[in-house]
Amino acid sequence: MFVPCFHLYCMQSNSLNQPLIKLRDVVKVYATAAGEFNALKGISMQVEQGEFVGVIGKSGAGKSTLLNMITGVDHLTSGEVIVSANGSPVSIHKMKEDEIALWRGHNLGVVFQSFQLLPMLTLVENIMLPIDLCGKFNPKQSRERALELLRLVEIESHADKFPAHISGGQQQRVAIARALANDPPILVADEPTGSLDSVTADHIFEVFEHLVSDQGKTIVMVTHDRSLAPRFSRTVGIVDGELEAIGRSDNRILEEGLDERVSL
Amino acid sequence: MNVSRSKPHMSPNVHAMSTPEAIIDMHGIVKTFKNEAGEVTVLKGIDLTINRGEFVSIVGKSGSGKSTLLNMITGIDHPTQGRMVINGTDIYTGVSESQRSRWRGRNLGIVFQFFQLLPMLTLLENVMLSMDFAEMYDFDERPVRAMEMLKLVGLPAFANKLPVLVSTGQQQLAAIARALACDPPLLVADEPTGNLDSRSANTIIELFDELSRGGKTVVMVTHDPSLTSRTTRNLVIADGLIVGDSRKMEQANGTS
Repeated sequence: MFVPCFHLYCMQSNSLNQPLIKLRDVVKVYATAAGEFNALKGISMQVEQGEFVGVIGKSGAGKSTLLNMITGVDHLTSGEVIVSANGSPVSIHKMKEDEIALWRGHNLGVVFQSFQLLPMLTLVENIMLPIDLCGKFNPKQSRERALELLRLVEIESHADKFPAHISGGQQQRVAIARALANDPPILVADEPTGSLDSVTADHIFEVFEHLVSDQGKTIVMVTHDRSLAPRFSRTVGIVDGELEAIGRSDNRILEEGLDERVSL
Repeated sequence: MNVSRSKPHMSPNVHAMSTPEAIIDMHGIVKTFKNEAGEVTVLKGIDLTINRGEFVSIVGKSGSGKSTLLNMITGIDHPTQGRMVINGTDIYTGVSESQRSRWRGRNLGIVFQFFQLLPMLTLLENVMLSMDFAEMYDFDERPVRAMEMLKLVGLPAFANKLPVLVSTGQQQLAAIARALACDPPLLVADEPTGNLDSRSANTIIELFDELSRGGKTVVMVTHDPSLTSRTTRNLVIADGLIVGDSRKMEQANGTS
């Protein structure tokens, strides 16, 4: 059985002084047929435990790429991504793919615009899968835990239905429950309300807000919809691969030297 | 190709009406959906038998009922009327809801047009997932079996990659590996090449052909009539009814 060696990537500094997520000078360059495309141009930002951060930008601005750097779904070209999810800071950018997959299962929940539920499984089974895969909870209790999570997002009564038999908003609730399967401290969400009508989107936001206020989760969400800005505890704008502005001056997302470029 | 594993997974609830050759035996399958405009009957009494080892294409236009028919076979949706026996088991009366995923895992693998791989999991983990409810493999066996399946479809080097980092053709191969993980005798595929370039599509059809020759039954829904020359039997569905069956035509012509 593979045993992760997270300690190899842990830094020696005191975790109490570390932000939960720290990006320093993150650059992502894609090689395309037309030449190189610079998707992220030296992003530096920090997210503290318990924040509900909205990364707002137009299509192509680099917001999903930024999220992929935090989740380790994609590799950065240069810079650093350090996440201190469970005490010790872990350098995501130094981890191997199999190691990061295991780390992600324990520490990050991901919510997608298109829900990404498996259509051949019932709702409760969709949530049981990551519980069983991660091994953090006893497999004999995975159904019980999955039902508990469905109760949290108020959809337990549909537990044995297939995704095709419930609405888009209900599917997104299930996807959020799945993201919480292994009780990760961090949730990242990529346009989670992008496929939903405004009333349903509002309900999903309420779920996220409760997760921050009642469960102590930290959430980083990307969206193209600027009207959602007031719902976050902090917003970060992204334009052409660079941070544009922040929503509150008292947040410490800025690294030294970036203050001029990233201003209110 | 040897994809089998010597663990028995015959259902104890064997249906008396089904012949040993038949892996799919459906009688009078009707499916009616209710919506705000009233009732729409999408399947209007389908009678169909598919035998073990056949590689069957079901072609039909959009809205003809072909994907609904597939959902009846997989148990993702229930027929309004009719009887469906899969691998000897009446899947709507012979398997309880709570046992359906276990039964499905052992008896059929499903391949989708858009792959349906979980994006935050590696290819290896995606293949392992399908073993979760079949209860055929211990936790420690699952990574080994998943890697075997990735080798079978030519993707061992990509085992630790996330889906987004491989091509769409490779994603579909991984989805087939997932469908094969519990060694089901039946594979059903809903437009499996519909999102692929012609070269990748050819690779997928070749793999299905090889699996069929190895004893698997493959039932593939497609809107692409050109694929019918690659399968051993072709069915045509229109307005909720089977209106063409190459096997019946061969029998009528004395060529089967």
